[in-house]
Amino acid sequence: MTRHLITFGALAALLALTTWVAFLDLGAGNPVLALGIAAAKAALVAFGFMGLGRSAMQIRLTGAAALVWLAIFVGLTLWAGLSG
Amino acid sequence: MSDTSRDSAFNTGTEEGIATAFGMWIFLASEAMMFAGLLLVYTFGRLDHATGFANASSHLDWRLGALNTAILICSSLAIARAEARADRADRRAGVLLAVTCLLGVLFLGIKGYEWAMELREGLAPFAGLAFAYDGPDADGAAFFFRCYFILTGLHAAHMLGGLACIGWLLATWRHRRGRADFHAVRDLALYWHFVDIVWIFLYPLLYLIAPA
Amino acid sequence: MTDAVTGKAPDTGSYLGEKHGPRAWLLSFDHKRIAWLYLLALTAFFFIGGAMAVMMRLELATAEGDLVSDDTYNRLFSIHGIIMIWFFLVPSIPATLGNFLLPLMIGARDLALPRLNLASWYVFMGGSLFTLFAVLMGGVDTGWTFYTPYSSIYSNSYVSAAAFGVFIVGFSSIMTGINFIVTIHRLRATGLTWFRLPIFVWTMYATALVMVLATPVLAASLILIVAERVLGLGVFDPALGGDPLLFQHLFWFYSHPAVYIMILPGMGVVSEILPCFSRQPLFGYKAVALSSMAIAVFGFLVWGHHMFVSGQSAYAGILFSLFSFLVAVPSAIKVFSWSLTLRRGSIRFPTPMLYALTFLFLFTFGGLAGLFLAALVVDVHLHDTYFVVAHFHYIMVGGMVTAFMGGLHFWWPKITGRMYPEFWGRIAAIATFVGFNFTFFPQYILGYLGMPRRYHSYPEEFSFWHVMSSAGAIILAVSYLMPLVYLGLSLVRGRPAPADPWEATGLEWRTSSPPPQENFDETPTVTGPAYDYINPEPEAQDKGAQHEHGQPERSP
Repeated sequence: MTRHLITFGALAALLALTTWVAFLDLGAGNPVLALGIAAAKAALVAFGFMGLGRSAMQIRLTGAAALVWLAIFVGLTLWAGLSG
Repeated sequence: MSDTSRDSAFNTGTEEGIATAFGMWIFLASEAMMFAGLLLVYTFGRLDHATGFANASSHLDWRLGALNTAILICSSLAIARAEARADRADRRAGVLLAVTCLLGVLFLGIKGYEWAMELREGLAPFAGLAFAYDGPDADGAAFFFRCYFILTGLHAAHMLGGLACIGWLLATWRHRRGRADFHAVRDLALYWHFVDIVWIFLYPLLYLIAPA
Repeated sequence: MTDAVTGKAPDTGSYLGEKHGPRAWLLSFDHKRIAWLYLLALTAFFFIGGAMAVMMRLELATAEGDLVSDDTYNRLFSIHGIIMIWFFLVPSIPATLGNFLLPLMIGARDLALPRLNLASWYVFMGGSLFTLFAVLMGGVDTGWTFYTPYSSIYSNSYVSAAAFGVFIVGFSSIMTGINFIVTIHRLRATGLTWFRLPIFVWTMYATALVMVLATPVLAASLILIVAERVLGLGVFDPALGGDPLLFQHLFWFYSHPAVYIMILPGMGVVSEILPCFSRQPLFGYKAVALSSMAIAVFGFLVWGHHMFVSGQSAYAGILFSLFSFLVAVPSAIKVFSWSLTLRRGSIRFPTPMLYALTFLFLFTFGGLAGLFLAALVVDVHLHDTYFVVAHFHYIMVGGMVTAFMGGLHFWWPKITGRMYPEFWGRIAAIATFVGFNFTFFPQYILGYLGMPRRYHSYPEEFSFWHVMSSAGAIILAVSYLMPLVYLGLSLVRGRPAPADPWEATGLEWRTSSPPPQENFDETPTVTGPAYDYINPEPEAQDKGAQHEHGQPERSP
């Protein structure tokens, strides 16, 4: 119960934060901050609600593998598409 | 179908529950890759058309986006609590599932209202509809709106899928008694949280580039 | 043996004999019956796709485009590719042999998610029949790659329907992948540690990984094509500010790893057959197992080598070229391991072994040609020529289809409880080898000489090689039709198979042929390594002695 409520509170706070900073002019900082906060919220959902931290080893590996593949896919495509 | 004893390769319901949850996580990893592919299209568009994207984004109402984000966070809390109850074989979990369902419908209602607004204002540059945007970089803005409709449309389709599954769970609720009967609640909750995470990324990417 | 003897003997108590009628098959959650459903569907698709190939080769037997129009030819090669890749090769070994054997090999009663398994077949049938419907309506002319902007803007064929069907079939692939990963993690028999698993299981795991992580990206790119054609939601159209190259990135992010979906299972099959018929443990077991995983992972880093001439940056080209060379290393490790498994073995040559050796030869040949194409400069000359066509047919047909045929013969006694006719099997295997090389070796030369792919007519000077290729295609077609006939006949007339006709190790051979519905009467436990073969030839004992052999258990 407590864990869920703390997660919920943190998510609500980050929602307010991301909306607030969007009105500040931080240049390139805006998208970075927006994505950073979104990643933090995603992590909160994954660990707070989905119980990723207390799951079986295989499930944590699945999460980690998903992150690695996302990084390969997005990183390499962006690099190949934008360089040169 | 007739002989249920054959349906499982596992000896206990608990072991089977671990396996289905594991399967659901793998499915979610797969789904994440699909959304990543679409977000890449968005990213290339945004890098090519910074002005158009910023201006187009300011045509969206960030208040409705924020409201919908809040609704989804609430629905995630509701289904997380439902899962905790179901884990104790507490049948009152059904009430919280119904709450999740209602919040999901509310989200889709607001989303539908937004789409209707954009169609009326001529901000839907597809299917031969006129594009009535009058700011700078109209091509970029049109590209933004096409990404917007693809991303929110696919997200809404996932919401609909989730709602259908919750509906099915509630329809079969009276047959569910033992702990193993409630594993489906946990698997569904995992899916629902994932759809929530997708929206958590869509909200700043679509609504908050240059909020008005 | 006469029919009177064979009568009903193998059916009693087996999964084949339990229940009859279409409902008992179409609604069964039994992985063995679902494997049959897939096998029947895939056989049909293989011969439909093969018929397209034969028509293309008949057209190409003469230099003029006289048999079919250029437009029809475009549709022929497009649908040939779509059917062969998505409706045959990708599901081929995993959904048939893998479905049947995976639980047996790890000592489980079924796959972890039996309902998902059956659902995957219905999804597969729904999607593939939808695409087939598009073909009957008038076909697709984009090639199997659906390259934009041609597919999204210009083509007036049934692209949306075909792409949508492939999109649906993709989900069947993801379902199978999820099921295999969960099964291998959660259902291994007591004592069956990761490094005791048969290589076939390792390759299924690697394949499943690729299916789960790559297929969704294909889904995304096909959604975008359909959205652009149907709704005008164009994101690849340069006139609307889109980037058509981005489609190629998304498409090849799936489709290059998918190439490994189309070879890893074949490697798994061959890794089972070669040790069995040389009576030796697989050489370098751990290296082979880990190579499978390395191929699955590195396979995700090489997609840009399909885009060397697309205008992607030179730096990207260099990096993708480097990775493409690197991914050849684990494949080479496997080829050396297989070859060294044969060394000093007591080799027999039944049909599965002939297919496996054919695989070894053709895969190596095709793989080496791949290195030519991975080299940036050479690829500029060879890109989109018959050299590429020959290369990937050596891998996909010479490799995967050959391994599939080998595996089908190897496990046919286990699956059906009947022996196939050995004589006809060998004839078919040899005909495959001869027919294949006659068909595709000339295409290397054609490509090197500059013949581009996807044309229905060509200058006279290419005639010699094209005619040779077309003649070979006829032999190849016959060699694939033969098993259809004699394997089919063996279902009713074949000699009943013993539990372990090849004296092979592996849990699947410890149960009866065909297996009972529960797979094993007693849940098996494993105490030793895989490939526990003892070479009867004395001079090989020095090598064999390095392995700790338990008493091989051969009885069911």
